[in-house]
Amino acid sequence: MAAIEHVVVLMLENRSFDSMLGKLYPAGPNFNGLTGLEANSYGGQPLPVWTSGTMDADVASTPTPDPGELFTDMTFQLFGGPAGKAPPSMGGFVGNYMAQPAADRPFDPRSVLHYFTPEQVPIISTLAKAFGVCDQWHASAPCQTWPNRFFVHTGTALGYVNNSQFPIPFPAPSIFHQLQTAGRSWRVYFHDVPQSLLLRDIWLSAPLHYRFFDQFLVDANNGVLPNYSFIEPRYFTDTILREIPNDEHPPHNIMFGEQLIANVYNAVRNSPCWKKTLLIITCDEHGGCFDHAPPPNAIPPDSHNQEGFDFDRYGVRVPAVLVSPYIPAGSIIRAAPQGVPHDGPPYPFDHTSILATLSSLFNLAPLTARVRAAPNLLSALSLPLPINDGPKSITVTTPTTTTTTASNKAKLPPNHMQTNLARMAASLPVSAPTQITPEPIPMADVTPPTVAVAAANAIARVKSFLNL
Amino acid sequence: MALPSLFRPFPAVTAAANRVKLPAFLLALFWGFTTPAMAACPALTTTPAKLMAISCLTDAQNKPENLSLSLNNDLGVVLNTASSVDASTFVLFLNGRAVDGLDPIYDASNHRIVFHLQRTPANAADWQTLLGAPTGLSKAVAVSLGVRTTTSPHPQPTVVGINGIEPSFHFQTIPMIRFALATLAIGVMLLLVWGSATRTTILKDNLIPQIEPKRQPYSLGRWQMAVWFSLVFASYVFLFILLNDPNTLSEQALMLMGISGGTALAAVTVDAAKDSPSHAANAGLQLLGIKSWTDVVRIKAEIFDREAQLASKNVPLAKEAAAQLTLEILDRRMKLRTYEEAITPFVSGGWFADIATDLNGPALHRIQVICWTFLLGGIFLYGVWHDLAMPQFSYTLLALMGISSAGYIGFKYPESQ
Repeated sequence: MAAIEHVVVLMLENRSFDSMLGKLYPAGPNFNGLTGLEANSYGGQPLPVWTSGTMDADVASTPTPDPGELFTDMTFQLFGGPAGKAPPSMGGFVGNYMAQPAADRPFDPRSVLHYFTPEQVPIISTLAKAFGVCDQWHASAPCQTWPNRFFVHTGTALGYVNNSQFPIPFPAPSIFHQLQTAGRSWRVYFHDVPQSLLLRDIWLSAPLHYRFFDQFLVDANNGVLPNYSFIEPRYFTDTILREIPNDEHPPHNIMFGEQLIANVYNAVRNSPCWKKTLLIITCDEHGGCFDHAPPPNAIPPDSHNQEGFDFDRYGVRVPAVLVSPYIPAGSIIRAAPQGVPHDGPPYPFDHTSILATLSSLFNLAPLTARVRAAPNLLSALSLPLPINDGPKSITVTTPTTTTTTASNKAKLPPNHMQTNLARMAASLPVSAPTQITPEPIPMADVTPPTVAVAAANAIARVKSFLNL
Repeated sequence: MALPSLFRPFPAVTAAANRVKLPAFLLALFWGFTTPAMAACPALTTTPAKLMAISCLTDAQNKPENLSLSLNNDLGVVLNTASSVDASTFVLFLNGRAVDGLDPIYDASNHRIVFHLQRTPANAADWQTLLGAPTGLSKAVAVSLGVRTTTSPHPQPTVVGINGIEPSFHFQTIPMIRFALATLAIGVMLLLVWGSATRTTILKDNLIPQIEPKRQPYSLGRWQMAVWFSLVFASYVFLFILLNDPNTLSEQALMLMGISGGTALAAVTVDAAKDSPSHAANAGLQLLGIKSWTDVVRIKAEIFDREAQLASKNVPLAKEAAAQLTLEILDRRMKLRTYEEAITPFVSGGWFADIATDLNGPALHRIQVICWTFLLGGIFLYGVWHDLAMPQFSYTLLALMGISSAGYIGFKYPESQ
């Protein structure tokens, strides 16, 4: 068994597997990618998947505007209408996209069918080929960001399907607390507003474990990475630091996400911890971007349900790249048979596979039934010795961010995710509590007019809470 | 004849005076001397018969030790000769140095030669020796005369007092009233330029108008411009009161002011044109509704007002109203926290740190401008004091200053500010 002592997870936002890695290899039995014939109907005409031959800021921001991502949106995207018992057709992406409320620019029905070629996303593609790619990694549920991010932290969403409905703090036991209890170290490295700060059982100790992303680079360089590192990207435009979100959430420019991936990889690859580290790069959910692989049925994590959904189905596939010197170059990693209908066991990978891996590595009890059923990732570490060092470092050219660019983006209204993060931050106590009352805090009813206001207030509150 | 005790033998002429045994001359030194007799200027003999052996003596009414003269006053020298003399042949020597171009006239009624102590371009070098490097407001000046003849165009100070003694008087190098006015003018200038430097943005960048003026960082360009302006202004006033000459501004001084002014202007232009972190901070704060320091003051006042409302026992608040006020206070405090974090890298760290460093620490292109400014400024001041003229820097030296400033402007593009 590979001697992994450090697990690093970088979870980005809202991209489907097909949109990012569908063309990594030719589609076939060994790689469930795009043939180019996949399509959705719109106006009676089939619209096939497509890519732009060039790469600029507009292409990198596709789809623009942001597709729908509420539970009802995703249900439509999967089934083309109400959810049924039959396997999802994956035919409702375009229809749902065009049914979204008016945005700041017209909806182009082809936007959600766009995919990037490996040349257009060189960082994640390079790592996928140099190590391993999972073509069978699904979001844990066909839901928004928060439910899926809670799955990666706790193995459940406690029945909540949309961001805005969660209790604050989120009461499910988390992997962080479990690691802490087991005497293992962990840290969350974040850029602006860490969504994971909603977890109730880490509130008392959060100031000890939450650090800005720059600290990750330092810790990696010094060889003092914790057993578990979870990295949250930048969700907001920061006008003062002239930073554009690097979370890859549409319509954010994915090249900034590529830059973040490169930074994380370079830090891990050149860390004294490299030989004992497993790096997992994935997205929380597909965000309305097209994927052709129907999500299989899943084990419900618990008995909670909402809107008639028992959390018995995975979400859409998301990109997932595993990096470790124990993974052979060019690995295509999967855990279940391919094809529809598929009703495990064995089950495909989903976010709870991370928890299953941590449970296996550090001898922890599975947090939920979903975690218990999830395949862990250790089977991908098939080399007997850590001999695949991959590229020494990788670089990517990101667009220059001017003050004007940042200001213009910060003047826009916040998206759903940003609004909910702002509300979450506004609901946080001014400082980390010394004891936690069982009653949930009502989510603050704030509606920031712009990204700038949302970010400033949210970041200030997070810093105050974490005493940073 | 008894000699005034203040007279001392003048070694160069003592021997001649002893040989000819001439009576003592009378030297009269007076202020504001103008008479009709002088204007008429009667016909004079071209060569005083016994002038070769004359000496200087004080006027009866004005003892030299009490006499105080300055530029553009008149100095009369009474000779002991009985006949008229040709005043134009006499050359006044002050502290042993001939001062030409004083247009002496003979005052027959008082039997003396009158020299108008004027400074002209022709005799500026002579006066420089006399007035340069002043260490006080006045200095003692010894008087003697020489006689210019066709055979001796550059005379020696052969006409001295009895027994070769040179009388002396107090020459006011810097007249008190002028000195007071000049001090006042320079003081006002310094007060205007430097007096409010710490409290206002006169010498500061003001790139982020949201920062309180006294916390704004100092600007190297503006500092350099202020240094040269102050030096040139003070020097001009100093020379004017000393020399009564309004035309002492040199080409080089103008060029130095031009270089420093151009540097400051170019620095502002670069700051405005480039996309710097300070612009980002400014833009970010503007998006939060903080456009100037006034807005910060307003937000603080709003917090204070709301806190006062919450603390007031006279008007009890409903629970909802109190919660709303608390939320508003929290919102404004978070705004101020963001504000403080945004401006922290840009607030003044002290004068030298501001002008010598950028966000990355000490900057060579800034330090070299500071060094050259101090060096040339020192040379400039010394030159004005010592030579009574603004220094004539070589064009090579001016080019060096220009290159230094240009280097600063060039490096300002990529520098983090």
